[in-house]
Amino acid sequence: SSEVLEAIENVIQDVLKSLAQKKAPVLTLANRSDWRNIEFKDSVGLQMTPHYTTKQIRSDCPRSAPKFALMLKMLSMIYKMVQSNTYATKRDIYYSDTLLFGSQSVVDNIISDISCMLKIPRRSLHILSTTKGFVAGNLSYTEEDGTKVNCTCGATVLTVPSNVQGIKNLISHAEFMLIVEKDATFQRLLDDDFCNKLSPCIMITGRGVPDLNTRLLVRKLWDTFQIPIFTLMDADPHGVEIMCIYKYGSVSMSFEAHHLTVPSIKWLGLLPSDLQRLNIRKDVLIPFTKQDQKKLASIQKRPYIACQPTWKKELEIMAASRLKAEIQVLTSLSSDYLSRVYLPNKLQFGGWL
Amino acid sequence: MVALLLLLVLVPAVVDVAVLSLQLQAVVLERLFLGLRPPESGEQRRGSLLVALVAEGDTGRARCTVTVAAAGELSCGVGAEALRGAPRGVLELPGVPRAPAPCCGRILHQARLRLTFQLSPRPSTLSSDCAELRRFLHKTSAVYPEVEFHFCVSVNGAVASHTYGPAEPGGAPRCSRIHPALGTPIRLRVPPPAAAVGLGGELSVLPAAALCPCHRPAPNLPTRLAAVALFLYDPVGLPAAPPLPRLFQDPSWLTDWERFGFTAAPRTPPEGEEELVTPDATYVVRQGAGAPVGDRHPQTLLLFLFLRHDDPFQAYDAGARRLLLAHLDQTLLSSRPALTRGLRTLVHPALEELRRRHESQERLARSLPVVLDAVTAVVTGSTSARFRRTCLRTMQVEDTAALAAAARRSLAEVTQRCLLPCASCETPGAPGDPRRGEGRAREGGTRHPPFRVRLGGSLRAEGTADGGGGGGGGGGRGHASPEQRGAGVVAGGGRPG
Repeated sequence: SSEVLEAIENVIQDVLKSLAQKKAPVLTLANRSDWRNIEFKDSVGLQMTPHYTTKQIRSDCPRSAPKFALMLKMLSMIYKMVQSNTYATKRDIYYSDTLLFGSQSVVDNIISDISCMLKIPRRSLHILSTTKGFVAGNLSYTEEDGTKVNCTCGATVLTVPSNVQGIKNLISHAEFMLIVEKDATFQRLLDDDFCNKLSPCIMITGRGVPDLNTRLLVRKLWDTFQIPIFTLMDADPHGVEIMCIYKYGSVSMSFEAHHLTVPSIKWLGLLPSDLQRLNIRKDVLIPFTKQDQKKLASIQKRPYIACQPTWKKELEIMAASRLKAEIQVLTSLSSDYLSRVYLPNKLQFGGWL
Repeated sequence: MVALLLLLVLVPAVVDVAVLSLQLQAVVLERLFLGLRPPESGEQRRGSLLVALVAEGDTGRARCTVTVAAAGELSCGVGAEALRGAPRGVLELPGVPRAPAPCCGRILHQARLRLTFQLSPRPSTLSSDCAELRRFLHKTSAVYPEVEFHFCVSVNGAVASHTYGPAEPGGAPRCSRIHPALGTPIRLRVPPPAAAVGLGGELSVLPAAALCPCHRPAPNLPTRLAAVALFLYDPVGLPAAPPLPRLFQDPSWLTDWERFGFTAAPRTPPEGEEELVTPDATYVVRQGAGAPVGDRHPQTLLLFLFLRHDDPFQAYDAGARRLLLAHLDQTLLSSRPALTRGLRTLVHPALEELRRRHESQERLARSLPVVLDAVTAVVTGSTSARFRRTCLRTMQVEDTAALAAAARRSLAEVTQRCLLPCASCETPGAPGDPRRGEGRAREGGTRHPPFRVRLGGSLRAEGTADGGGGGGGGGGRGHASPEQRGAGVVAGGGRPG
């Protein structure tokens, strides 16, 4: 936390130095969402290039002055929280002055910009985000406040901890981890007692696009247990993109790639080639929309696809058929096909990419 | 400028006294400008014009010698026959005129056209006549920014001169420009009496508007609209003669001032503004009740109305000019709805620009206290003595209260002083963008040469024309001295001798 305080003090000192020199204070931010500042390394995923372009947030320009002011306001709030060792969620911060901040997305962006500017992870800024991900399976740990957590499959589902960095004493006998795209599929597998039927495993779902805490947890479990991680996504461009976020990271958070990505993640299903192989009826498949086509075309151009010929081939099958399918399509074969046949076969016979 | 010696010998005629300035306006200067050949596309008229007046003698028996000389391109294409025949009340003097004063020598030496004549003005009106002539020349010089106008008066040896000349390149301060936005030509209704006496063809007005001075490079400088100044020019760029057209007497014809939170009232130019181009009408503009004025820098909305006359059967000559001016009042009045509609498309964007500027400044003003509070909160809340000491030392203060005050002062100062590059004045698609003007210039008719307007020695506006003569206008850029005073006044720049 002294690192955080010092970083903020340096920013304030620079502001005062500019004022003393009769110059307008300026904050310099990396263009963290610009693809030109992103490079791909297959050992890390998407990360910021060393020589990234920046933009200036000026205090004397009417267009950028509000953002400059909000950033300094946020820095002063973080400074106070770190000093007093208190935490706040992004939502708490927004509601502390809704008129000033305007919207939640403004708060979220400023926090990410500050994290990138100071090169300090958001969690170290004492800002938490409400986690939406769930975890279940052969895993137990102790949270920072001493609470013991046991994720063994049962009736209850546990939320991914909001302070992943603080958890310790992680214990698991899982032989693999399964990341599930959707909550509905996650619940279905829980209901089918999947965690106990096959080898012991850990299941995680981000319930769509994963938040930071879910990604952090996946990374932490990989760092701790080094067990294979598989993904179970819908056979559509959106599912592929979500999988790529877990595996390679996102453009906007590329500055923290080293803590958020697990490049060794494998694509277990639902593969486009599975649809052909399992003879899924065409009438249960869904035609592409324009957005699907656009998204798929964008994914196919990304640098990490080029180094994965098997993934590239699957995407070409998807592009050629212009049809997509949710995991639930397997129920057209039988109601418990997913947990009883599909997943066990895939895991036993190495049906992953 | 190549100077060829060409002396014109005019048939002398001796008649009774006439009003000096009207004589010169009606005959010599009009003949000179009306006789100029139409400019080629892209051409700017350059040259020098000298009008020198030497009055000698005592009260009741004053004798006045007037020298008019034109040098450079200004005199090109003006045939000797254009100026032949002395005006009524004027005695043409033969021979090469000598320089009435040392300041006149340069132009005289280079002049191709020289005309000297003698008349006997009324001593009681000599001063006002000279002032009227000076104003006429000054206003004409505004639309001939590349021409040097030198006016010299010597009364019993006491010399006073004014020069309205092109600005020296590189001498103008930052954004010494105005940015005229061109409107589309507005067709005027020729009243039947005018048509009956021979004013044929189509009559229209090409409007141009600009805020002066331009404060775009200083986006945080608080400004206010203080006045609107109207200038009316005939198709060759000569001022339209007084009296003030009735249409101009009530500012409500221009726009719905209340919509923008303004009130406007006509204003007569006060005494002492001799160095300024006198508008044909001036309106004082005030913000609505409750709006802060404070230290806001005043700006004037300049509206140029360039009359255009297109008649395939008759060129615009002295006779057409007289007809036009004689019926100008009625013509403008009967065309009020069209003029109002046409001018609002110019005036409203300018007023909107002002409103957006004020809103931006309010946004900035709301941000500054947030910045200061955040900085002060960190410094006062810090437990690091080293950090607090460094902050206090940086701002050269003793305690955090003084630091807050010093930071507030400094932040207010640097934000207000914010300056953008001059190129920021030319935003694509904005008024004044040459591409806009180019688009408009292509709307029917042939392209005409660029027009330039000068409102003082270091003030000019330029653009591409889509109208006749030197007064037509197109979209383009302008130049203005930042010393221009906004309220009801257009920039001065004459160099008093």
